[in-house]
Amino acid sequence: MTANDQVLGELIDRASSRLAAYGYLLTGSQHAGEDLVQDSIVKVFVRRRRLPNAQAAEGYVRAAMRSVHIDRMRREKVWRRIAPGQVARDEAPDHADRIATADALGAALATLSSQQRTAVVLRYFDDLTVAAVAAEMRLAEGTVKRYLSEALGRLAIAVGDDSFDVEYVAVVDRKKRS
Amino acid sequence: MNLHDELGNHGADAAAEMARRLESAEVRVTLTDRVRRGRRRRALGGAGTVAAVALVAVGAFALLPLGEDASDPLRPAGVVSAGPYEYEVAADSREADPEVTLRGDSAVMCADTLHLTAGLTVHDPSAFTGSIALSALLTTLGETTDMTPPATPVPIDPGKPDGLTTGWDPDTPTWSVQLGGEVRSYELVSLLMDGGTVEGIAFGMSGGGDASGPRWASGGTPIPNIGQCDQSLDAISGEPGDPMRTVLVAQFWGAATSTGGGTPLLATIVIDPTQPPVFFTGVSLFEENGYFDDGDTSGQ
Repeated sequence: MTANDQVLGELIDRASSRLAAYGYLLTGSQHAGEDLVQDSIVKVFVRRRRLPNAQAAEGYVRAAMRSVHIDRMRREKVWRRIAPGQVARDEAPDHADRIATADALGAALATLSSQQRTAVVLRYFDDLTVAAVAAEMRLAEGTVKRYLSEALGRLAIAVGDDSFDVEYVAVVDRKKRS
Repeated sequence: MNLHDELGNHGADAAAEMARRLESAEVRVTLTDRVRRGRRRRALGGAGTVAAVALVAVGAFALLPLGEDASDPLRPAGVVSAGPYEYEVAADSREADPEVTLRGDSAVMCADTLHLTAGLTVHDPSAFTGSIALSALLTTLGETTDMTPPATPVPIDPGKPDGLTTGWDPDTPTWSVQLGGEVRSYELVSLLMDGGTVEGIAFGMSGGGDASGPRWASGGTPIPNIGQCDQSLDAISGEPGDPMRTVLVAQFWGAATSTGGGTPLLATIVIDPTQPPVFFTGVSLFEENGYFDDGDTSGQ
């Protein structure tokens, strides 16, 4: 067994539940989330010759999950435009996904577009700034603000609670308008 | 409702079954196989790329004059990189008394004035048979991979180690170090220098024990902040230090002598990132020894 195999084993032992949760939040699907975790682990361990420990590896894998997920979203968007018949609109939820979306927040998240969902996860789960979310998603800050605003509106309606403990972001910069 | 916590709870609830599948023996084997296949493919592709780049470089060298700056070890502004520096004790290694010590009552402290000689210095003859070696590279974390910023997660709530985690700043410079040999123990620190005066200390790896035989280790060592003189959180919240004013110091100790003279300091390695890279063999000592492929840390 190589040193990296050992780190890989430790990573799975220690962090699989966290990585799985992150994959699920990003993709909204258990199957897609699992694929995302596995693909990202492979990407990191193939490219990184030396991974000092499982903790560092987890950081690399989480970062890879973000970039792989966002790349997939962008690729699907392009293919949907140039060859709509070649891309499934949305993966049909399986039984486990239906159970997972049984709670109010899960049901509300399921109503979001993949871009809105990703923006919400990066902003409110990863605690990135709006600027950082925009950089990760390679979008304008205004676009991210719009996604977040729309998503929070939908979540509030679906959950029946309009008092999320988050700061709301202006879609339009008020200083510029005045 | 706290959306941050709610998202975390929702993800954890939904991911329990996913985590069980990820932890299965079948998935572990699949992942290991995919990694090995990917590395083989990458190695094959890399060899082709190296050949192509070499061909282009030869052509460019024939056509373009190269200025003196081409040998500058530093990268453009904004990217910190120096090295790699690779040292191994050899028969002709410099012998001298230690200029600094990292342990004991006379261990280096902030405000000490040092005159350090970059490179490897042997202090005890037994070092010549100990295969003592060190490989170090100074990089910006974001540059250690071509992917998006890496992050080492740290639990936001120490009481919930499996809970939400923070990331780290990808622009933070750090030393990546591998070191070892047939030594009893080792110590590694990164010193922030103002001329010859120490104004910050970051403690890196250290190891020791009763076992004899080879002892190898690898890991990262941060750049000390200005005024960082101990390991308290207050100390490391100061202004970031300039990585190009750091000096990396590693020391190695041997087994105690039968005459009761304590553990002898065998050798010191001092690395100055403003100096050009040093390749002892041209091949990473640790790769050459198969350390990372075999994962053999049994000597530790």
